[in-house]
Amino acid sequence: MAVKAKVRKGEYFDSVTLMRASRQLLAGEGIQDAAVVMGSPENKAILQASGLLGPELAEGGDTDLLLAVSADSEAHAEAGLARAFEVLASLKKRNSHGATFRPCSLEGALEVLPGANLALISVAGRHAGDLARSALEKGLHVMLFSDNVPLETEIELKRLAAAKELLLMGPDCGTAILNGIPLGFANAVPRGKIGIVAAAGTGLQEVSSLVANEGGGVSQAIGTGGRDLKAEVGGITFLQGIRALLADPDTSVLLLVSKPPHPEVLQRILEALAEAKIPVVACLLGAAPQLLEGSPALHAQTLEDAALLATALARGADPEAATREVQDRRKRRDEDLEALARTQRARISPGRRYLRGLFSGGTFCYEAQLLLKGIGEVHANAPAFGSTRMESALRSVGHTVVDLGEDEFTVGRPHPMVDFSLRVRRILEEGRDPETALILLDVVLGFGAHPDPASELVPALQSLQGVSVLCSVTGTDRDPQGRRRTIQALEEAGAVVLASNAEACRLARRILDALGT
Amino acid sequence: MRCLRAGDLIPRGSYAFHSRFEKALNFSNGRFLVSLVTPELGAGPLWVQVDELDRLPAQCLVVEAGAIRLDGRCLGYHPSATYRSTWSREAPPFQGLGPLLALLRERILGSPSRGLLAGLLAPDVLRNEEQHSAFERTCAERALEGAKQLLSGNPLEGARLLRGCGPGLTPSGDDFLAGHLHGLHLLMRIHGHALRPRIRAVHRAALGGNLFSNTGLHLARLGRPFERLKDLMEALLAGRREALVRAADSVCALGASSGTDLAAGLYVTLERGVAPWP
Repeated sequence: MAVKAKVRKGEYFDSVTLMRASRQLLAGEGIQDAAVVMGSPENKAILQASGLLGPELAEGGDTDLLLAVSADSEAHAEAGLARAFEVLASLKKRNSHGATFRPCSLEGALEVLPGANLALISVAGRHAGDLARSALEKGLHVMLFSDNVPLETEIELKRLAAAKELLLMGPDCGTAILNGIPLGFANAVPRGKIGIVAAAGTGLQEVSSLVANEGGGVSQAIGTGGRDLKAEVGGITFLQGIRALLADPDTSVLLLVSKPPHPEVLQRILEALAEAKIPVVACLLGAAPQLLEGSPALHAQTLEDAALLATALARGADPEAATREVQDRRKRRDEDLEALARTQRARISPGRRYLRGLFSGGTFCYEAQLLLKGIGEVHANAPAFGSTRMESALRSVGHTVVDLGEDEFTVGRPHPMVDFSLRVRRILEEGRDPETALILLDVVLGFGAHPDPASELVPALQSLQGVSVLCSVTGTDRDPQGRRRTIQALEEAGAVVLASNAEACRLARRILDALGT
Repeated sequence: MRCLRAGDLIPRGSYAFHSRFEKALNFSNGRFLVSLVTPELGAGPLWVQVDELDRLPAQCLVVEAGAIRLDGRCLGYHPSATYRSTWSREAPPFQGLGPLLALLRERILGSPSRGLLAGLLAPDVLRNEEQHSAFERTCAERALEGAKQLLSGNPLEGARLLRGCGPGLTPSGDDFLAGHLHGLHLLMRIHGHALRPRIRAVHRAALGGNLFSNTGLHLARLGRPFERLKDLMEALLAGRREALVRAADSVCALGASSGTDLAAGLYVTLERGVAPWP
């Protein structure tokens, strides 16, 4: 056995980073043991007991980093140590935000960029209102990423913005694409003719990505925040968005995405659409098609349908032809899904019979409940369409769909699109549950999301046995993570990757129907 | 840069630059650290909340009555903007800890940033989780034994075993010990137990050469929690479930794993109690 060790003076890391580094090291060829730890006397004592404390480490102190590797040969130990430095450098790079000046106040930001016309605000909710007001008063449009902003503050800010002819997108607005620039959690989509107004962040990501994957493009995508369509807020931003895009010469199709608005707000939306001289597609998830009667808007039941309709319209199809095209395509695809369902049913071990949906996108969780309605009792932490509220979001019962982006999982923590640890742990737990037949996942790519979701999910998926895993991947090949690359990695790990969340739900339904649950 | 709030335990005097993190700029007086922190961390007895941290590390922090100077630059603050880490004299009506402790355990174990010692809440979880290296295995064994001794009649041995246990800059064992000391203070408040000798002795045994750890242990000895932890302890005392979930998640989100290790120390102490000592 060969042991190699080194000290890095004055370098310090947190314990999670160090444990991650040492685990990566242990996976190296010929490595028998490894430790990457701070040089406290206690840690040195443990290294001594593990046979890893070489004389090289004697000079290391509390704020120095100690690296030690034991391997089956000198060469492997040397290579392991070299690899340790690489791993730490990459983790440090991932944790660091660069050395350039990052202003932390609105005034500081305006000094750096005096011509700015939009402020993206992401601070604790209790400070967000004041900052947004200040930005509006300086004549800036605002994308308010922060949540936990009181409703009365939202109303006041939106009224102020409207009076100044500015947009206040949010609060809790996670996604927008303005003049081709993705903001927040958004995807790299080409510019095009479809203008989007959405009160649903992941809904916006799904439709814009599907549009891009179908060869279409987006002129502008305006997020409004989920509460905008409540009676109290009155759809102020949604209506501003509609009017702006109807007047936009670069927009030739208008696509609307939301949960069903309050009836009074819907009435105002329909009045605004009455002036539309371009085709309009409305996906008001869960709303009856009759609500749109008398309006020029085409009803889309799912986010996928909405994107496909809008793309066909943008290509020049008339509404009837576009609708027919989408229906024909659905029929063809349903035949494929039936074949897929058969192969997946064969993978599921006897006795397993329940669906477990683990979503990072709230809109996907909502859409899944819409599309899974009728499979039996569904438990959810954000129930909709007759689902039962879970007693504890941490424990699945029967058919369960969990929105891991809900406050109970995200207060003080990164969003599950960024940090996969909670979801990975939950996947493993669901896999161990002998009643789980099917795991349904959304994987969201794009700016702001995890740089490589597949690397987090693949080990967990590979460890599952007797369970079918269905994924939808929201994103494009232009996204930093690469849609095709992500799909390939997930498929190699045994998952079935579908074109959309709606399609994944339709396949899940077919499999469950056959299992007779 | 503006001072938003300052802790109530920051002694007047001069402090030298110690270290810089994304959300904190640390200064030392040789015994403990005083930190300038961004607002999202909340308040703490030894923290100065500022609206932004300048890009360059400052060299010297001077604390005077009503003013804080950073390299000679004055950050005035009003006494009303002081964070009070003391408890109000009137304790809220005590609701009993049982169901809330179960909820706290659930939040800690469900936290994505679960640290090395959070597994002590469920030793079966700790045993089943793969400890990949000899170092991790030894740490886990030490931690299990240390926690057992700490709560039994041998707290000094427990503190010795837990001290410095963990690979990182703020070792998990030290955070756990700080949580334990806060838990002892809470037990005193709830049951009136005479635990001060135990608190002093465990603190002495837990001190090492790590200023980050020593600062946390110093505050824990005094029973002066930072804001997130105070919220958690108040929610426990008052029996407020929703507040507890929020506060527990907020504590668990601190640092890479410090928050969960601290919460684990608090939980284990409250749940299992302590054997008589000395």
